[in-house]
Amino acid sequence: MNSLKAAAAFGLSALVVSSAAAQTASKPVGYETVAINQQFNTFGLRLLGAPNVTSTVGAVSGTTVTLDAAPSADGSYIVEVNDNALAGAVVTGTSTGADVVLSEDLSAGLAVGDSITLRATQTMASVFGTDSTLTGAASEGAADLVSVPDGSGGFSTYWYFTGSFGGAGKGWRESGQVAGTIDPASVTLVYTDGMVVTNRGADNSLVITGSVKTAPTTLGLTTQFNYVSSVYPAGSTLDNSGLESQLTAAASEGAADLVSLPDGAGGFSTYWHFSGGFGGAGAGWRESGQVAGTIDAALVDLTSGMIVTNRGDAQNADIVAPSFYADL
Amino acid sequence: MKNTLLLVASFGLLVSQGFGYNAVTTNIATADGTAVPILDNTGAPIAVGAGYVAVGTFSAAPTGTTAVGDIRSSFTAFGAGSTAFANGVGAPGFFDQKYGASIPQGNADAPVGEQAYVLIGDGATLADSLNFAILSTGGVFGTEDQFGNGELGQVFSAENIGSSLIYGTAVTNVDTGLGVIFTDGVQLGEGGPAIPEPSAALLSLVGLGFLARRRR
Repeated sequence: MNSLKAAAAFGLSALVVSSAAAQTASKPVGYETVAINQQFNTFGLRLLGAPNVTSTVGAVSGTTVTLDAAPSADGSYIVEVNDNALAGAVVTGTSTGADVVLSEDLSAGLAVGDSITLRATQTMASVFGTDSTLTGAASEGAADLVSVPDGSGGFSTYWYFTGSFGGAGKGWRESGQVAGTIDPASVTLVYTDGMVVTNRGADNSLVITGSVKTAPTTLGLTTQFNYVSSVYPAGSTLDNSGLESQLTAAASEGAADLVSLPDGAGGFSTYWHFSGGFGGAGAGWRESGQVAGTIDAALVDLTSGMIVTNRGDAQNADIVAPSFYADL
Repeated sequence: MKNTLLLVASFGLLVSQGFGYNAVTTNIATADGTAVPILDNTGAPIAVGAGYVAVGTFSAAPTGTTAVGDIRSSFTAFGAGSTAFANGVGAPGFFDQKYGASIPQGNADAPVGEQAYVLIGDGATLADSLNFAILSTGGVFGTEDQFGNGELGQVFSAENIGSSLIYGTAVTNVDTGLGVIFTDGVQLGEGGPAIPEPSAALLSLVGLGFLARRRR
């Protein structure tokens, strides 16, 4: 029931119809409307670029992977590992023929014969428009901001410059940039990341279209605050996400990893997994501040963007699609 | 004038977003014998809803012999939050506390950069407490990130209590009536020596052996 409710909210009917009608589509597709309310909005991409090719690894050498089948065109791709030791890993890569240079060296875990999918990238241009769908301005202080994790614990922030007098020179700029513009198509948005849109105008929304991923995904978590995507656009809950077995549970909130979901009113609802009292009794998900009992985690829908507070060392956490995605 | 007011209001909303800076601390990460119960000066575990727990800084670094009056006068508690013992398993002797305040990115004022201590007392307030324990993992206060999120966590267990106990008496094999024998505990009161780390204990034995040989 909860899955059906979520499906309606996220346009899953369109997703299913498109999948059935488009014989050439290898994955279901759909759309998602993301609210961009005033002030801060944490969200993630859950409709992705289309898969270009799924192939097996023919050779691995450092960051270079040679596939048994080349993608249809050279360029930048999202690279997904589908099976074996690194199943769920997501990195970026640049292909030349069948050779793909990855953004990270996976050679220690990637083996010949492993399955890999190259997926079209989502970029600042494809998600927010070459001419921004967000509020632009002549100064950064008045424009909406898009902050994207930079992979090293910080963020790269972008805003849309509406041009100087007469509108000349308009385009996307990076925070602090006072001249020229950047190419928004060159800024890849990795779908495992959570982004923050600072909306300085009225409430707004963003329609994101793309393919639905059905396979598990590995989220790389650094120590403390991680802005991540929940990856799966409909029906994903705290209960069926698989995070219970991936994050650190504890007998106290102060020692447990936290999952914080935007509450739509500028704040967050935060959850942690209680490992149980003495003897392990009473284990389950709790909301922040809860000192007795547990919640029904199946009723907690994951928002597109989440903040995972990792209280331990850096770790990987796999998030999985709801079971009904297997039928899509 | 109207525009100015709007701008101020907008800025106020911007800086209030995020979790703020939180100092979190607990002595029960796992509900088993590695948790470290806090006992009052009679040896009884401090009841849930009683006692005093705060995270903060000292103007002068405390030791195991710091006078009670100096503990009270030199401690500055950080943030807002309940100071009575509370935990998610409902067992006496354990705390799971969070204290929050705003420390914006770029702020260098106190307590930023100062060592954080967990001060535990047997009264309802700092002033009412007669006996204390002081713990610290050595962590220092930082600031929030650009979105207003920051945290300093201090988790105490049998694994680190030896290096974390600054003031108070280390006790071992503690039975608080829960059907679990805790490897380590802390009793409030003027500090005995901290529980030695295994390596430090070994060094002490080596030293004693050396002294014994010299005396012969």
